Amino acid sequence: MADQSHDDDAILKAMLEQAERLCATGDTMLKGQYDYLRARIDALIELRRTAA
Amino acid sequence: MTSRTKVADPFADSPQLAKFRDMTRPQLEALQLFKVQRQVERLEATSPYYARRMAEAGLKAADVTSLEVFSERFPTSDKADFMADQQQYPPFGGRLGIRRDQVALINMTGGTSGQGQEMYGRSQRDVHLLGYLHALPWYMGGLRPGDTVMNCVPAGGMTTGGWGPGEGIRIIGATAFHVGGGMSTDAKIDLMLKVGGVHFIYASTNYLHTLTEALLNRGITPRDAFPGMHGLFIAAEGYPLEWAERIEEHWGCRLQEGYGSTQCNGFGGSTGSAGVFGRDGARGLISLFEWETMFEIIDPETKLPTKSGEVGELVATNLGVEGSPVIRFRTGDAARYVSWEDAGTGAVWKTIEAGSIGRFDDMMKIRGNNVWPTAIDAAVFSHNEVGDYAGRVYTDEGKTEIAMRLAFADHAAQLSPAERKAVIASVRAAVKERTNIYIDITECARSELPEFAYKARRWKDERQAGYKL
Repeated sequence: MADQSHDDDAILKAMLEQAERLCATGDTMLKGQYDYLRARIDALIELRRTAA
Repeated sequence: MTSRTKVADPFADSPQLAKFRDMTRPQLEALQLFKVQRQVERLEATSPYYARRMAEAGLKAADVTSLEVFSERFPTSDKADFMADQQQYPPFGGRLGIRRDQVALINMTGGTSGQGQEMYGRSQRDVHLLGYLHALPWYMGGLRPGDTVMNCVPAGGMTTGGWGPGEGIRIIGATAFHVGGGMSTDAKIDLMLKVGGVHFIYASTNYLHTLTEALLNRGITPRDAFPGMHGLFIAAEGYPLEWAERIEEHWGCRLQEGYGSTQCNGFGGSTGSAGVFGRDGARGLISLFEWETMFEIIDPETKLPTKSGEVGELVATNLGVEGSPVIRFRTGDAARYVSWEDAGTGAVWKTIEAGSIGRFDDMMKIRGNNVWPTAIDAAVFSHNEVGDYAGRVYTDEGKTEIAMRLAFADHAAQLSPAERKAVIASVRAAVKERTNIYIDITECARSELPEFAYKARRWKDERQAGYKL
């Protein structure tokens, strides 16, 4: 099975930046859902961390 | 021995998981130190509770330059500390460490200790990690997308264990079937038969016993009724190996065990794909997920590290949890520690013995002997004929007495009075051998004993009621 970890890290970092832009929305109905999305991406970055 | 369904190799299937397995010990400890320093620095600034504890110890975040400094100088906390913190800063205590509007889920401990319930505020990220820390041991135990999981632990509610399975099964991409709580065992069996393709069961040790017993009483052999079953995952209570062997035979698949708690935000370790049996049929090992939760195993009295092979208290530190993290929390859980060097699992993760985790504070001091309910469970349930039991310790005319009511399993109904007497004598001898105490045992009907959907509480200590002047 090919290890895509290097690409995965870069993709997740870019996704987190994009999600953070979404979280700046003034739409309070969507805000919680964007925060949820951002938190899930952040958690994936955290649980994949293998070095400091 | 009958055949068992083979467990899929988690490391072959996940390069990510293989990275954690292939770490050297210095690499793992460097990752732990990074996370500890990050946690301590953040909490010094955001948590009045931990900031005060650090100040009282004369410790600043910048002082934590090694794991040794952390273990030697960061103060431990226990349940009493958290309860006092919650009194001072209700409802979460000063240890929350995140803004109130970032709390996405409130979890509470079960309250079975009688000391009150700890309250935990978890962030959205923590909720994902809560799911991951349930998914991880189940993935290692063979759970894969397309499998149907029967979750027999009561879902939802206030506990971490109530929410973790739903999140965890969703993360893996398997099919969740939450049947725990509010439904009789017979109704669960009817549903299992209706659904048919059940592949994995998550239950407390006690409930897996109840479910298996109920299936057998209906004349159903689990391995025949559920041929696709490939994993049974238990937690929360100890068991004798003889019981584990029979469970595997009845179900035709591997028994797995996890160690977890609300404080760990899910599971802190599991038997992985190896199952609950170790070398030569001895007890297996629970490998600790040390990159997520740092564990120290200490002597509860001297607070010094426990040597490999000895029983110590687990002290937990959340490395990635944001809301209400525990830092050097004394769990009160008693486990036999086996160093990674002695464990020989192929990874550098610390391990604890499976099947024998108990509580230091459940320990009963009886006639000068330290007795854990898990030790008595092991003695009693090594007898196939026993269905369940309830015990009480009480004082009679100033003397400590121990009484047990024991019910035979339905499949042992045909035993003659003489055979029943022999089984009871054998149970009494087994308890004496393991605990050095003599127990008065009487037989009762199975219906007279309580059923436990989750953690069994088989013992009542009524000695204080007997202290009357």
